Order: sequence, then C-alpha cells, then structure tokens
Amino acid sequence: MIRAASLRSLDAIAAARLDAARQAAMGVFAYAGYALVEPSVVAPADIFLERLGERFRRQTCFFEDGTGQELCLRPEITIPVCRLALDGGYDGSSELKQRYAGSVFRLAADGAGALTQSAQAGVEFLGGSDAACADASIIALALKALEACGIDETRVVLGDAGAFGDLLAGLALSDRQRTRLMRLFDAHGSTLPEMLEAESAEAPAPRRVDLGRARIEVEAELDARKLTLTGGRSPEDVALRIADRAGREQARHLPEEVRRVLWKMFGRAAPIADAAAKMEVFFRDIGVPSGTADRLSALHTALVAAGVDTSQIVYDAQVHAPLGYYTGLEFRIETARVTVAGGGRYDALVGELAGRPAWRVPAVGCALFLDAIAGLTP
Amino acid sequence: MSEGIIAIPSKGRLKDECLALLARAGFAIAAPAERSYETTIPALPGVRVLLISAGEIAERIVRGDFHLGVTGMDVLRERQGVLAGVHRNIVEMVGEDGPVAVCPLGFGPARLVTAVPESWLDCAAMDDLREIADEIRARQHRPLRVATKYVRLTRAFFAQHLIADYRIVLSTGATEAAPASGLADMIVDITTSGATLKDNALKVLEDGKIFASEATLVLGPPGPLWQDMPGGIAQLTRAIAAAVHREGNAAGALAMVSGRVAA
Repeated sequence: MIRAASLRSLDAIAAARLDAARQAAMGVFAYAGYALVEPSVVAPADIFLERLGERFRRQTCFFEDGTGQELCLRPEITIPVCRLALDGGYDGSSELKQRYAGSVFRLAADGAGALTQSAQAGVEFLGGSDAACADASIIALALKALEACGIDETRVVLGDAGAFGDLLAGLALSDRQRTRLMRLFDAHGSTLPEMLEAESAEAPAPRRVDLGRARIEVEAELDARKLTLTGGRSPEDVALRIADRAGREQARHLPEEVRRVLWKMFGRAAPIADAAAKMEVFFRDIGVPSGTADRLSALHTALVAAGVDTSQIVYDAQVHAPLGYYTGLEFRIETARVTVAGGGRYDALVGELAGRPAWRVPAVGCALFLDAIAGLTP
Repeated sequence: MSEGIIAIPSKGRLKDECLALLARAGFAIAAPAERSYETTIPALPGVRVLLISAGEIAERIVRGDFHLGVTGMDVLRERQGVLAGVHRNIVEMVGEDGPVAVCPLGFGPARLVTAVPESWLDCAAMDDLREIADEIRARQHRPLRVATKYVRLTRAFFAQHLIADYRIVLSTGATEAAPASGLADMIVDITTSGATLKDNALKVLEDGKIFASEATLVLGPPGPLWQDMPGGIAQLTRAIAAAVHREGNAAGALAMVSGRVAA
C-alpha cells in the first residue's frame, strides 16, 4: 500500500487566515518598493542540485516529466528568484528588489520522506552596495511585515556565516581540513563540535608520497595493467590525488586546540549590542583575524539607524541554515518559540547560478513562514 | 474464507530454486498450462500461485496485490527507498507500513556495490570518491555521473557518505559497460561473483558495499487483502520457513500480520 503524503488543503477559515497573513506581508513589501515576481513552482532539477547543501537536497522532491526532463518541486524560492533575475538580463550593476509569495515543498527529513507543502512570502534584495545597511533593512522589513500580520513580540537570533569561514582561514589547518569542516558545518550545523569529538578517537597514521614518484608509478601501473583512464580524468589527476592522499587522513586528524576553539566559538551568544565586542575578544584571544566584529558592529549601527528595537536581537554563533548558500548574515525570527521568518546574505549565489563563480553580487533576503504565522493569529 | 495469493519468480534460476523449495516444503505447484502465468498447489486448495518477474513482485507486493511473494531484497528496498543491512534472523518490516521480510531463502545471492574504473588508482574508498567528485566538478565543470537502476538506494547511500555533487544516469541494462562507453563515470549495481565487474575493468570500493541481497519470502503490507487471514497462507509461510530452517521467523512474521488482521 502506498501511503498518501500529508498534503495540505485549507478550508475557508484556514484559507482566509493564510490569505490575511500573505496580504499583510506582501503589502508591506510592496510599500517598501519590492516588485512582484512569480517564479514557477516546478523548476529544472539542475538549478537546485548544483546549489543546495546536502541536508537540504535530501529534502527536495525530484521527478521527471513526460519528456524525460528532470524537475523538482521548489524546496525554497530564493534560487528561482535569482534565476529569474538572471534570465531577465540582470547584470548586478544596479539594485533589484523583488517580492514573492508561494509554496515550497519538502520531503520530511525523518527518512520516510513524506511530502509537505508550506507557504512563504519573502523578498530578495540584489545589488545593495552597503552590506550592513542592506542587512539591517531586510531585518527591519521582516519585523514590519510580521507586525502587519499581528506579531510584535519577536526575538531575532542571528549568526554570521563569515565568522566560521574566518575562523577556518585563520587556524593552522590544511585546505583539505578547511573544506571538510565547512562541509561538516553545512551538514551538521550546531552539532558539529559533538560530531568532531566522536570521531577524534581514531588516530590515523599519515604517509606522504612525493608527486614526482606518484606520476611515475601511476603511468607504470596503468601501462602494466593495460588500463585506460575513463571519465575524462588524466594520469596527472590520479597522481596528484595519490600524492595527496595522506592529506585526507590528516584532514580527519584535527589538533586538540582546533576542537577546543570550535567548542568555544559555538558557545558564543550575546545581545547584538555586545556581540561585536565579544567576538573581537574571541578572535583576538586565538590570534585569528576576522571581519566578524566589524560586521556585527556595522550591523548594530545600521539597525539602530533603521529604527529597529535592538533589545530583542541576539547574536548566536551556532545559527547556521542548511541551505548551503549563505555567506554572511543569517537570521531567524521567533515568537513564542515558533520560527516565523528567516533569511540571510548570499553574495556568491548569483555568480554561481550564472556560471561565473568569481562574480560576487551582494544579495540578502528573507521569507516569512505564513503557515506558522496563520497558526498563531486568532 | 477468502483465497490466498502467492507470487513467485517466473523465469531463470530464481524460478527453478523457488519451485524446488516449494517441493521441499511439501507444497509443489501444479505445472501451469501453456502460456499461463497462474497455477495452483494441489496439496493446498484455496491458494493461487502467480508466476511473474521478481521486479514486478516487489512492485506489486508493496501495492498489496498478494499475501505472499518471493523476490530479492534489492528490488524490494529500492521500491521502498530503505537502506539497511541484511538481518538473517530478524523479521524485517521494509519501510513504514511496508511489507514484512520473513526470511532469506538461501538462493539468488547478490551484492549491491559501488564500483569505479580500475584505472582510478587513487580511488579505494567512498572518501576518495567524494574528492574525485570535487575534482571532476573543478576540472571538468560537470558533476560525477553514476549509472544505476537503483536510484533511491544510491541517493540514500551517497547521502550517508556526504557525497552531494553527482548526477544519476538511469541505466536498466548492461550497467557495467557504462564507464567504458562514456555514459557515466562509475556505477552502483548488483553483482554476484564480481566477474562481470572485472571483465569491465571495474573495482568495488572498500566501503562501497551497500548491502547483500538474496531471494526472500515476503508477506504483504496491511491492506484490504488482510480483511481475514487465508489459512493456506499461514500454513505455506510456516512450511517454506521450515524448509530453510527459519521456523522462528515465520512465527514472528505471522504474529505481526495477525496483529494487522486484528487491527
């Protein structure tokens, strides 16, 4: 027997509630100058496959249409909005403000994978040259939209994806270890230190092979066994990796000091007013240069300038969304322990979608979770 | 009392082994009429026997078309998207509300494995594969391509190993030829002796064995078919399990199923 997915149908009362939240949020976004766009609910699989973090990807529902094209139900809307902007000829040289409302579809992460649908309304702000101002304007806009939905008792929890990157760049780690830690952070989020603790038990014995020797050995072995390299890989690729293989074992072997610092960083949380000073001390103590304190300080100033009540905003180093594209600010907004909105900065996404990885387009956005909001309003 | 339905493989070694097993269990089937895919068990009136392909048995037992079936765990797990080890002595529910695997039957062995070209001298384990996927992305600006017909199991297994950047190329026949022909870089496929892999210059990764599979006796999932329990089905389940010395499994599985009947 095939079990029916827990699909969502709304009766008149529930639909009216959802519609009220959507209208209220979209009205605020429109007033702030965000133009309406309507990206398709169904998207070619590629645009998500290539950009989403692993944790999120497992939650995406892929299928084929009658022509054999691989499609998916959109699991989020930021990527389609950026894709749409690029298709419309957006070149990053100007500000582009867009709003949308619609459903996202995700498979439950419990392994059974039932399909769920939920409604969002959000904005994407591309090309804003002052990052702190743009970030603050998005947080302010999200709070204003929530207020329009009747939700004013909110708490903003924010993180800085750049802080983890700075930390990795500044610690004595190999590139291999950095890539691996970044991937694990994306996959495991705030449980990363526990996860590293568990695996540190195994102590590997690394062996280094000189590249020159690896080249000779690879050529000789391919020749002797009459093997042809397939998959477009060259003997040089294989030799490089053989020479480098010891590096992987070392990548698993994190110095005690690094694990200690990660624990310490993940324990950091502070009201936004104190966050910059706190992170400044943290990075100074471990001797790692970081732009985090400056970013947090600029963000705090911009939030105050935007008229946001900052007493309900906290910085928490553990905040990390599994989307895999945030590069700076990440935040979620809670009320009565329910998350009602989320968002962040994704400066690399537009360039990656355009096939130009080095192209940075400043971008920040947020989404309101309308089902959660409709469930809270009387 | 309603009639019971058992489905068994319609061709090849699986069919022969299955017929031999039924005979050993004391319930030999009557030879089906020419071109007929249905027959009976003379010693067990009230039970219909369908002869269909193992893949179709997996599909249809999940759908609830039969009480009892014999099929491979590989196709059953792929149908349900369930990644798990083989538990010889444990009655296993395949998927939530799914069919119940009563016991392995000792024939039709196969391993589902991850295999790469032997020429990839730098690739011995799944960790290597993840790095090669990164390398192919960086150097050739494309994802690693994996040929398989086990799409869901491949996705689940690769996710376990945190490999995200790859693309599945659906391959329903001669999958092992895919790397040489250029259709894909590597494969996930069933192998019995490993000889075909070797002939195609492929090697199995150290930690790339997804699971071992064999022909398995399966009871269908809860559904309209279980309004009442056809007596012949319980008897047949017990006899087949006894013939492979797994009487305990039959008792456990039947208890699970009668729980469903009661509910």
